[in-house]
Amino acid sequence: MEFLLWMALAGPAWSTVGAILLPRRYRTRRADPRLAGVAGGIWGAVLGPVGLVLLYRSTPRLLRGLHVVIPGILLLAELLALFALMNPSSTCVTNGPYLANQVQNGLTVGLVYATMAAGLTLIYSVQRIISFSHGQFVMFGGVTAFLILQQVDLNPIAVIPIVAIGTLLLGMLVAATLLRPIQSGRAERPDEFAILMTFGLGVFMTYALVGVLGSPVGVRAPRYTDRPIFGLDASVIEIGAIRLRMDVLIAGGVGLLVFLGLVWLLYRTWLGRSFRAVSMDRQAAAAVGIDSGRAFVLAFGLGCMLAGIAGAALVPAFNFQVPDMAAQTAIRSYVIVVLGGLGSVPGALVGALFLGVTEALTAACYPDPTKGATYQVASGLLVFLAVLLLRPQGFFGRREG
Amino acid sequence: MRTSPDVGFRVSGESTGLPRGLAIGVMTVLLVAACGGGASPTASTTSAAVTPAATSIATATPAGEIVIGGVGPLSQPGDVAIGTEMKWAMEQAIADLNAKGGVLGRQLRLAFNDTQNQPDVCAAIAQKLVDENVAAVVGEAHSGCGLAQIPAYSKAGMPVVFSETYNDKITAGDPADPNLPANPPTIFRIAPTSTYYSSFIADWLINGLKAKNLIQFVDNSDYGLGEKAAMQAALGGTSIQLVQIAIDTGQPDYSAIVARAKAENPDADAVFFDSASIADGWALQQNAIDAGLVDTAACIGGPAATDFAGYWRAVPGGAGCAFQQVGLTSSQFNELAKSLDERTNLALGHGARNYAFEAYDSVLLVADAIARAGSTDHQGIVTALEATSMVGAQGQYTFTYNSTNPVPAGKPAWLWHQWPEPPIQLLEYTKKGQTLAEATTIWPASRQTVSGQAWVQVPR
Repeated sequence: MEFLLWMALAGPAWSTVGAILLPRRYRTRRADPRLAGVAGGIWGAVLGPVGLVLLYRSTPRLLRGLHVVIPGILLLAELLALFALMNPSSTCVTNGPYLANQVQNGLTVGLVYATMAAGLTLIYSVQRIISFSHGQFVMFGGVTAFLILQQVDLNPIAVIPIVAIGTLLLGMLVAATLLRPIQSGRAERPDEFAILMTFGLGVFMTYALVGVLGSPVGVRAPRYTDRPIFGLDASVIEIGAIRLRMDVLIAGGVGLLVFLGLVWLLYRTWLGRSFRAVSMDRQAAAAVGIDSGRAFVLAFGLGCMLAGIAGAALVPAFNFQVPDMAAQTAIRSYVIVVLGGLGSVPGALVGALFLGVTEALTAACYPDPTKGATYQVASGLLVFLAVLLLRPQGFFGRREG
Repeated sequence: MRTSPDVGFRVSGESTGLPRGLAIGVMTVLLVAACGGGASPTASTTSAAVTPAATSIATATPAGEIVIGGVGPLSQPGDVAIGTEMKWAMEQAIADLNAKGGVLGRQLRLAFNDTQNQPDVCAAIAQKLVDENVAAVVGEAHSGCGLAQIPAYSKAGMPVVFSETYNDKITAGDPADPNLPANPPTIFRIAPTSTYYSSFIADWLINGLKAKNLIQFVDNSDYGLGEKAAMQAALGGTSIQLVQIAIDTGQPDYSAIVARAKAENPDADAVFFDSASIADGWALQQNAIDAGLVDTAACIGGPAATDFAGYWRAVPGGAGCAFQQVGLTSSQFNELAKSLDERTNLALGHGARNYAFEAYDSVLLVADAIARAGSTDHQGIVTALEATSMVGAQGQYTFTYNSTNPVPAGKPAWLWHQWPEPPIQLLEYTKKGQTLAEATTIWPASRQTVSGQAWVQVPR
């Protein structure tokens, strides 16, 4: 107990020492220092000075598995053990099924978060620009679905294709007009141009949607489970202590399908290959007959379509309000794509699941039960900051020398 | 530093890196969100040119109009649904009064301002109304916003009738805050106070439901903090165990915290979803139903459930949940209330809600005071308001404790300039899809639909 407490107090200090000193030693020895910072930080946190001495002596033979992954798992185990020892009566420690249910809940919500981030990932993958109107396209999809379902008695799933087509066309229109200077090379600073233009577009869309709705409102479409699904008339399925919410599962299922569709598109279709070719080398792609302008417009349109699908899939299952929905989804999407590694499709999925579980476990396990929900969102942003500091390229990114 | 993709399905082989400006951009979005940048455009204010005057006599326009300032949220983060309906009801009151010849032979005009529930905006709007020297101010739906307005009104001696702000401090003041004088002399309120509201729920829990363990969800707002303190005070000294859980509003999902509440409080026999935000209160409630938190416990929501169509859309599992009806039920309406209710139905597609009645009556109260004062002198209006004895849509109004009859020692300070007994009752939807008129009254005991039935348990 005392040892673990000591480690908890001294761990961050030794971690800092390791993260600073070890790369210096590698540079002094003219060795590759890229893994040294992370390894030094993790070994310092897990084994303190002992770990640092071992690493110091093993210079320059760092292995990702032995020196980063295994001690990383050890660090996680150490932190969990520490939590259990310091909070022996916590429900997360004493009630396994409860913990499993919370993890399940976090994973399901994470799948839904992944849906939100998919479009952003695609746009960055192909075009190397960050769309700051992404949240507004999610909101546009959600509001469109909401308005259609208010007028027509349809299954919420049936509305998703309609929204998909609408957002695809709108996205292509935006890319062909507002973002054309990037593609044509007329934008002197394309990164900044993209940020400013998409940010401005987002503000315009927010105000336009508020104008259409008359005033900001809660957007709550009929739930998926308002009508029987394959003869099943239940909104919750209980498996032991696990309670599966059908609405969230369906929204998450849509998210999973979107991801699988995205992977299929990128790696199994000519269109996807052309996207990848353009993103690798625009001139070379043009030399083999790929129209990079069309690829640019289509990729942005598809990214917006994924955002629209996310919005339409989410409003029957979650609490959203216009215009806050745009900021909520945008912030989480940015966190997810940076966590996973910019432009990485599997990274976005893993980042989303990680964020969902982190938020759920904060609400579920934070020692003061009256404040767990208050810190739920902050925990995700803390993890985001920690990853930016320790591994700026995200889980699935690779640092380039 | 540049980064490049390397794994799995990443698309490009070229250097990717964190794009320039990404960090700045993300921070910008965070800042905009934090500052309420997602809010709607500032709603139009109808406060046209009202010439400020140097005297305390409120200025009339050249046409001789008397200008009454209205305040309420028409943009997020304020509750726009409430603010919109309040504004509409105030306009009805002004139209009704003008149709009868106005007040003192002059027409009335409403200068409504969108306070957005942002404290800096609320304070600025209050100062604007003071500078425009309106005759009096009515309205407001958010306690924090009301509290932010009080310093400007108190300094200027502006008569105010707050119609939908519950925090005790509105009329009690706050000894710890130099900007909130104890018993502010020009501030009146016709909404229930947090303590009054919580005491009513506490009375039901103790004497009706005979509960032993209560979970109360509150939001992190001035309203929520007021409710939290009021419930602690109301249940202090009783045997009821109280667990209070704070939430941040605006989240898409609250399932993790309600699952925790269930696991850690298996003996809870009542759960109170007490959020100022209608959408969040309903999301919380449905998440709790899905998590099984109220399978056997009584569930209590907020007064917004009187909008039964919206309630059933957001809380389809909400049969068996009680909710407060602040104001009267349709069977208790007088002619004035019936008239407003019918007009609201025609114009807005639903019956008038409590905040509409309150907003309507707040205008009538001020007009009545101006008429009795014989002028728009602020002090005269305050004195007349203190002597109010008027029947509005919600019934007979008086402000029992005032400058000639101070709040006695031992009685709560919030009784100052407070309508002492705003109507409040607890109803329950016992079947999915019920309308407000079909809801069962379960408290107070004197109004129960079925005598002795303080809650109808619906199997889940």
